[in-house]
Amino acid sequence: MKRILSLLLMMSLVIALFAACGQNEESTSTSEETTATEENASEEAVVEDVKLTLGTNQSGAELELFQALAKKVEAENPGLTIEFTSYDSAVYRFEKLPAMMSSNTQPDIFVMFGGADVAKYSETGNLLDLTEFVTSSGLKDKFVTLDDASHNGKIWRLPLSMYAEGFFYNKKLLKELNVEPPKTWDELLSIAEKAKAAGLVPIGTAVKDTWVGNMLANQLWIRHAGINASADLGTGAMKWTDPKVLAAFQKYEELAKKGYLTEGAAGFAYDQLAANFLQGKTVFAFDGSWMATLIGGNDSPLKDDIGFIAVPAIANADPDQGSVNTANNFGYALSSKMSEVQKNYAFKFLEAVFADDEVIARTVALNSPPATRVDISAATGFSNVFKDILSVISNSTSQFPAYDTALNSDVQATLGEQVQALITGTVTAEQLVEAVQKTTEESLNQ
Amino acid sequence: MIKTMRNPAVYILFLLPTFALLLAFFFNPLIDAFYYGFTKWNGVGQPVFVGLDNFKAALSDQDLSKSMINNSYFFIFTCFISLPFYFVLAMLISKVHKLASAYKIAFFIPVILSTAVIGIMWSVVLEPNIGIVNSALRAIGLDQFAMFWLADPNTALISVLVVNSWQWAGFNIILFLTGIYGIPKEINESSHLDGATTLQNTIHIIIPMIRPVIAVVFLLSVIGAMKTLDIVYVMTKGGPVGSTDVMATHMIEQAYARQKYGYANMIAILIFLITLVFSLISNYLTRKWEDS
Repeated sequence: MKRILSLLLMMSLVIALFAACGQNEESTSTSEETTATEENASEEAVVEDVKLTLGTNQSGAELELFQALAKKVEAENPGLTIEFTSYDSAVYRFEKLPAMMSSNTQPDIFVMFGGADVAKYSETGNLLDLTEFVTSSGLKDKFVTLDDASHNGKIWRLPLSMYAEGFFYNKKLLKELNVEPPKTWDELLSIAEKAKAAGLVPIGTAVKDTWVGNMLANQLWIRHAGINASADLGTGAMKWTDPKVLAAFQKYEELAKKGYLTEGAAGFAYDQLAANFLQGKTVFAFDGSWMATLIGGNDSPLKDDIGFIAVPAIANADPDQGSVNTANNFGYALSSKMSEVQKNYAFKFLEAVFADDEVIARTVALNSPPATRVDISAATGFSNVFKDILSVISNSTSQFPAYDTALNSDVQATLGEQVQALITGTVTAEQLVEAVQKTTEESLNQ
Repeated sequence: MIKTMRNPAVYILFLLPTFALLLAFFFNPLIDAFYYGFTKWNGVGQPVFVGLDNFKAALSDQDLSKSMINNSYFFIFTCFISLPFYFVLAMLISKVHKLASAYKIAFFIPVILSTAVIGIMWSVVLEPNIGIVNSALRAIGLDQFAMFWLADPNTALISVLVVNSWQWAGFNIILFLTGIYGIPKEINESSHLDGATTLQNTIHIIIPMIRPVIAVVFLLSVIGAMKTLDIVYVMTKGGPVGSTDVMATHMIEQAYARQKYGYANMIAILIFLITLVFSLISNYLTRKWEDS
């Protein structure tokens, strides 16, 4: 009897093991049966148990806003469930999403960045073409731009917000130093020297995550070498060893050598940039305006004491000293493997996301410029830093996208490592540009 | 029962689940690595066969060479500094009668924590401004020793090595204790009666008698040193400036930062082959020592 029981136990274990392997196929066939049934029913019929999975890099207040919106959409569509899965931002973009897109296991709705990511993923066939939906829903003309959401004439994602990159600054500390926000680069250096003498951190940075240091570098080489510099560096039309580009990195090197950057910056991860700024000892921090979501909220200790400015004008550089890195932030894309019923619900969710009142509410709550044209003049509750961010965007003389739309990932990685080395004093600006030029040539030759 | 165990079908049935798991989580990824290692692949599109190009690139990759040197530092530190220290601790615990279990539990707790937790915990402990280490040093007037432990290329690697050793101390101590407790009491008593000191007893009795345990511990340490990834990735991500980069973190960087999945798979193959060679050499040497 015992022998029979143990044999039965082993067999059930083996069967369970192989049954799990067939789980996905069963789900798909169930979904297909549901689709066939639903297509025969009228449009108004209640559909039971339709689930949409949503993968995102959002967290905290931002995630809660979208989850609340999803609940509203679920309430309006009985039987619909939208299930969120949130990931660490860097892990999501560089590890999780590529793995999912490679194996066609992406969620039904998922966050996706623009530019090179759109081009890469649209060619897998796993993205749903949104062109028809955007046109028929009237959303197409509402977006400020869909250039970085498009590839080969089709629209593949809908951006949720825009951003600008610049210097956040602590108003209280500037007051204590008896200075005004800098209008020129030399004024910035002068304030940095005063801040250092006062025992403050002049310019906060955190480059354990190597991409963080690239943001300021990007702004500096554009201000020295012109608005098209990133594209030219990416194609090899301009060399990294060009004197103008070198001058940009020498400016960066100067900040590091004079001790104006966070000491031990190579040991601080990106999330510590905001955390260190909030401690109230850092005068400036260069980051994208998305940081305002973390530091400019109502419960922030520096809520009313944060300002935002573009990189101050640099003398003896490019004539256009009003250029700002501003573009669409991440947005939602849809999976091409959804059933027709799922697609319809996904479109309903997107319509809800981009409804004017929702966009305005998010803009106020997250201090994040909207990607769609909405009238926010009547809205209240904006933080001072958000007004500064809008001012930076509207006062910019020209706009350019982030470097990752122009540089391939190999060059980006080398650039990040070299900027980290520049900040720690391990390489000079000359060595940096030579190393990045070498990687550019090798990657273009492959 | 005996009849059941003589039945080949029963053997196969018992082995099937383990073999299925081995196939799914060991052989399948290994075969995939050998396949993709000879391709150029960005992780999303179609892989393109490139023959030995990835292997040639690995031979000329200076960053990979530097990461191999860091792996060798892990090997030297683990096998020739940490292991003797673990043995000494095991010997001390074996002499303790009261609270011996408490000591064993205390040393074993890090082993059951996930490496991610340990990495984050020690990153906070070593934080230059508010971390316990620097705060304690400043409190006793040793400000000059309060370093940027994980941000300075000169101190980052040794910091990670120490944390790694701390994590695995308990596991190795338990293994050593197993061997020490397995030595018959009469042998130790006889040696003491013959006038041997504790040190002489340790060198001439205990160490030779626990040679199989030492061989296993050494082999596991060699394999661990070659495969190191998680503690480095969580604490420093291979930085600053590549000072803590090991082969596995270099592989991760090639795959996820540079989108060179084919080349990353080739590095994975090299890690496997190097670990295999080191393991075979370690096995051979320890077997010779056991036989001598």
